Amino acid sequence: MAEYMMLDGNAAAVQGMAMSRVKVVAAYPITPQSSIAERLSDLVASGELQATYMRVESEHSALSATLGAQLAGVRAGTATSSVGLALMHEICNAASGMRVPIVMPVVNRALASPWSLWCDHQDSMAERDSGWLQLYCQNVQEIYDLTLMAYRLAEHERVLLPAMVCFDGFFLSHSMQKVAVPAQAEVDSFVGPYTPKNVWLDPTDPVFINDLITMEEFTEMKYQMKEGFASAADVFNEVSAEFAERFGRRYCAAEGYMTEDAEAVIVSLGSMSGTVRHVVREMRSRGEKVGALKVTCFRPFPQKEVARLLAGVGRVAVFDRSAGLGAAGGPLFLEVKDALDGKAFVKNYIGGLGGRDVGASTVERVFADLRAAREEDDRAPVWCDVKEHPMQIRQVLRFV
Amino acid sequence: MQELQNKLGKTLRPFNALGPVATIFGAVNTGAWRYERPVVDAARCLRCGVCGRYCPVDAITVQKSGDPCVDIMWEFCKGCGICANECPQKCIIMEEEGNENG
Ligand code: SF4
Ligand code: SF4
Repeated sequence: MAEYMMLDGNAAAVQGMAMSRVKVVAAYPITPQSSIAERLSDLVASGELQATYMRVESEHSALSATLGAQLAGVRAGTATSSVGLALMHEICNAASGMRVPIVMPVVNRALASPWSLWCDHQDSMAERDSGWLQLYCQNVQEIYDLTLMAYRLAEHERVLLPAMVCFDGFFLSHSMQKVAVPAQAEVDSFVGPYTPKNVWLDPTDPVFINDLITMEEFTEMKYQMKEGFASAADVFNEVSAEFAERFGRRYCAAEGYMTEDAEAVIVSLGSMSGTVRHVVREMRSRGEKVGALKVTCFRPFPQKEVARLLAGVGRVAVFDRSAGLGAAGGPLFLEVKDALDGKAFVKNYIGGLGGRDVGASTVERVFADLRAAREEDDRAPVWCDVKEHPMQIRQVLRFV
Repeated sequence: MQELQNKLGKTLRPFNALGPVATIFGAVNTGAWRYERPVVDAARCLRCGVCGRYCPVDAITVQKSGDPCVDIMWEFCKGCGICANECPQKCIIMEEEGNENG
């Protein structure tokens, strides 16, 4: 039987990791992830979590230690944010290339510079080609649920790729919500014990992992990873069906809300998806045919589901919480536009950067702009809620 | 192979591993790189083991008793001279390779 707990997002991530019985934790604190590292160390110190806590001097070491520990045959855990994730970049690629299915909460925070402590998706988007699965959570319950699902998905023998469970810094990490937490036995029977399926370290049967690979085999090893991602799409559906059967909550890689007869839809990731739904409900009550589409699984990107859910929708707004500098649009926009392959009018909106709130009024303005947009208009992304004179926000006196 | 099988109590079975993993260690004969070789003055050697700890290819075994006091695997000693540098007695000298009789 599930019980209800009041948890903030970080505590929900810890709850998911602890109930999945991580045996080694190597984490380095960073705002807004810090309470994950602290709470895990509390649980280890009190004996509630039977694990070894390794104190490390950086995120590079945190993920390296996690990778080594998991190669030795246990579930190992770490978590990070922002520049911490950037410091892990090298090891992110090492972990995915070695096919070690680490599950890591990423508490989304802007990448410096400008220096910021607050939410946007630039940190995890910068890792979108690192060979990790990426799940984005809308609320605290999803953080807990998707963490459990991530272990099953990542560790599946046809997938064997590490997974980031991404959730918005402060908006979710520090937001207290009511979370249904199943009994330990139920979680054990869903997640199961960790069995290394590909390569592992055993002193009695030594192997050399991550040796130098020449042009003779490099392409094939990347091909193997590509196949892992291809399988992950199906495995996500299998795992989510089983999760729904056991725990009663169903997750989709891409989830439509009132999209069936919608004329305009906003596509989003993360916590703002709840706000979009709220606005859609309000606008529907006024008779406006609008809808929402939330992308939960960004890697692998659910191209077919997105195309199916948006079939027949005339206008699509894609809201990116990262800047997509120098590109035709933000990363979510590029994926959605490609999935629709010219079948709808798609426009990109950039906003919610560095912690700026994406409230109901922002969402309403996006719908209004989308409706007013003309085919022949400039297709450059629209930057939402920008101050009137963005090029003149700091006037400084200098001797020049 | 049989010995390992017995030790693990498991059967060795081939499987297709994904990603970069090797079970055959292609040892490089680093001895072929050597231009100079370490020569130990056994009369002054304390058998302290410092040279062995610093050798980057782990080619040195310092014996507690018997000869030689410092046993060097010549297939792997690459002639870097680190042992000679680190020896607290300064009793290792580096001699040009091929000159040992002259
Ligand atoms: S470091 Fe010098 S004294 Fe010590 S064992 Fe080696 S050769 Fe002998
Ligand atoms: S010369 Fe270098 S490689 Fe050779 S024994 Fe001394 S430390 Fe080792």
